[in-house]
Amino acid sequence: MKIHEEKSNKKLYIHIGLVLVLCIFHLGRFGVRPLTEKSWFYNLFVEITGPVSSAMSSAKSNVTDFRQNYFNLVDVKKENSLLSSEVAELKKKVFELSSLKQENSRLKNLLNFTKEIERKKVLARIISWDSTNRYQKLRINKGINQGVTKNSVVINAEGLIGKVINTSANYSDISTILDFQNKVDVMFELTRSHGVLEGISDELTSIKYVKNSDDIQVNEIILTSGLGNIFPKGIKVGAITSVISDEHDLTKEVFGKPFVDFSKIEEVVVLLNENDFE
Amino acid sequence: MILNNINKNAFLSILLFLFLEILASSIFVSLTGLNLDFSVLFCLYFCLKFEVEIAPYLVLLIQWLHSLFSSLSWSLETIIGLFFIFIIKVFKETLQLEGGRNRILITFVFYLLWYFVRYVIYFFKFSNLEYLKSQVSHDFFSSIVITISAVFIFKLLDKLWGKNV
Repeated sequence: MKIHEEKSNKKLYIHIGLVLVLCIFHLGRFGVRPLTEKSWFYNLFVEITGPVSSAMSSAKSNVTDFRQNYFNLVDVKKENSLLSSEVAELKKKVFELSSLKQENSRLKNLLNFTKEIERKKVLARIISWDSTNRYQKLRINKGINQGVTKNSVVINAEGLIGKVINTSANYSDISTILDFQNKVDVMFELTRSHGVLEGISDELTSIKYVKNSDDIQVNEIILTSGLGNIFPKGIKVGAITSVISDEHDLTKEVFGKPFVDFSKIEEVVVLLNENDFE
Repeated sequence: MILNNINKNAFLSILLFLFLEILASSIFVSLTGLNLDFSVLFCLYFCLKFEVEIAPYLVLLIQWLHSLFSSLSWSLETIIGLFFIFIIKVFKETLQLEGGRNRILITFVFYLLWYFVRYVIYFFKFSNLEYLKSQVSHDFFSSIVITISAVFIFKLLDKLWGKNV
């Protein structure tokens, strides 16, 4: 067995030797072909398979282009989506800033208006309206914890709004001057004559108990009189829109429109009752 | 009878090699830019599988055919092949070609070794280091591709040669 293996090995080495001699002879005779030089067969092969290679290369290029275009489109779509969300975000911010600016302006007016009133004040925001009574009742976001009590007066930069009728820890309900149950003792700016104001519709009030002898004119300003110990004296309420008088009656029928546009109020100032702090 | 079978199997192996060489030189190179060198793979297979006299001639034939598709010198590549036959003959007992992982590992190591010997010879012959540098990365990637494909090609060659050898 070993003899057979040795013989086989010997034969293999002889054949390796023969091939080696052939290779060395070839190298000696022709040398090593330069690395950049291809055989004549290869050049022929390239000629024959050229169209196939070209088609393959073209197909590859098309696939690559398609893939790149696809990814570009995907990128553009992603970018578009990103930019859209950024635009939406910026629009939201602009809107918020604009709202803040308006709010700032309103609050400034409110503060300027209430400067002259020497009472402690609380700024509040309207959080809801009583839907059954149009503009007659509203709710603010301040309550007992902030010093708001029953009968606290509520105003804004335009004028009188009403008074607090009910209060909880952090919320209060307000009865506006449009509420027919809310009676406000008022006087007229020029004649200084008195009357009692109460609401009759969502934009009109009636002033009762005005003497027939008082020379009341349309557009005269209505102010709080300070009587009744609830509303401080001199707060603007509205202006007279019409006066109906009959010489046989003791009193006149006077109608006034509030200065406050109840459909647009957002922030109010609550004048705290001084007695509560004593 | 045995000799006839060997001739038949050798012929089919050469045909397979030619098919792969044409495929690599026309389609694969166009698609990937990699020129796959299957000649080393076939030579390794013959070196690893056969200890018969036909192995040196098969290496010679494979390298000659490969030289038609490349710029490599068949005589120089054959000398490297013969050197590998000798090396494999010495380390035959320690080489385990069974199992996909072993085949991949051995093929990859031999590929790198073959390329290294080739680089050394070509460096001494042409002293062109730049060209060899550019070849290194190309050969490395192509050797990875061929090493992975070695599992299938070896299986195919095993089927061709069967148990006749």
